[in-house]
Amino acid sequence: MTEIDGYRWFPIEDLPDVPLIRIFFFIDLEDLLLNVNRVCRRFYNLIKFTPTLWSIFEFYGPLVIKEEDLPYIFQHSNTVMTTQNSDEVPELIQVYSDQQLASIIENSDENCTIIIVNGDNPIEHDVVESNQGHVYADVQITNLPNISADQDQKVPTVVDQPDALYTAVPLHNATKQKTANDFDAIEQVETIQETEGQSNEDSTLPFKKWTLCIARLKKLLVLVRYIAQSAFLEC
Amino acid sequence: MYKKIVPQIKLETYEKEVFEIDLDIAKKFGKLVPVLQELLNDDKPLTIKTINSGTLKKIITWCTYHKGRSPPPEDDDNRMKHSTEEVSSWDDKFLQEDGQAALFDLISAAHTLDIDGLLDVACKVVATMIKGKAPEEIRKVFNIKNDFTQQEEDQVRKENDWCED
Repeated sequence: MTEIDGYRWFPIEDLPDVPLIRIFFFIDLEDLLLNVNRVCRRFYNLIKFTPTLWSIFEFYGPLVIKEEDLPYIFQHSNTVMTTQNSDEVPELIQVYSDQQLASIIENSDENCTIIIVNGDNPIEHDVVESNQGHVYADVQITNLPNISADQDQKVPTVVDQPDALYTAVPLHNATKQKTANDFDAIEQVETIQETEGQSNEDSTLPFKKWTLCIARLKKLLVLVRYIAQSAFLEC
Repeated sequence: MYKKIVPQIKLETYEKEVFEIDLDIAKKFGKLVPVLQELLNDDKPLTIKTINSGTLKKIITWCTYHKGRSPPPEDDDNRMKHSTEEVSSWDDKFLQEDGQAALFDLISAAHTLDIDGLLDVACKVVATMIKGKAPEEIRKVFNIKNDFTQQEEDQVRKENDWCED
């Protein structure tokens, strides 16, 4: 703090949270995440824990979304607005878990627009229409080894990266493949079946349930790690 | 010849300087609106120790300039788009002419007095200064100390690398 003639002049760091958040509101989320939140701890915490700043989250393509990022995205944005092509009226979907979010991304096709918005600040359709000029990501989720092979990287095993069960990639880079490793797709399918009351006889069901158990445990680990990291950064 | 009597309120700043402010302008100070009638009837000034004379002068000048002008329309679309385009050249020059410290002081005062229009435009000016700059540049421009450890910095980068191209 600087004193001029007995009066204290405030540098930007000493501004109260509210005006500082208002400043951040006029900066694109991408800029906030890539630059502003790396400036100092206070900026980082303000950006991370202010849902208003995350009122619109747009997937721009090409984009790779890692599974470990989904809970983080979901933490801020729990409503997905999606449309299969730009002529359609966007459909607003409330998402209840990061797995469901992953599933929506997975089932999106090349022309799909995905906008994830904060459910506390639902946006009107005209806002979406005004955003039609943007290029949104057309992403899907596939199993990790194929993607790594595409990128000429070391092929990791599930043991190497226990939290990377699936990864979203641009549609044109990978063909849609589902394997037993695609735990969340299995989970999603099972959830739908349970909801609709259709008990489908499946010989691989015990295996799927077992893998589902492991997947859930791993998700718990990811969550614990995420909370620990957040706590560490706040200290 | 009659002289038009303009109702005024009195405000005292940090330096104990008393300002007489027209009611029309005082109405823009959201924090004062509930007590305006009381202030009009009271000869004693209201002391606001967190605002200095220079800043209050600037606030009065800004409010006087914008008095006859209609406020920018509340445009939800623009808010959603985080637009900073509608800052007029007059506002931009006026807010930046006294340097950064005065600008932040003005923001702080506008926040204290709840002057929405001024706060909005001043925040947009600062946002424009931040936009598109690397963390190190932002620190340099605003003289901010990097209080991250190297480990934390790596962690923050890793946390947000999903939105990097």
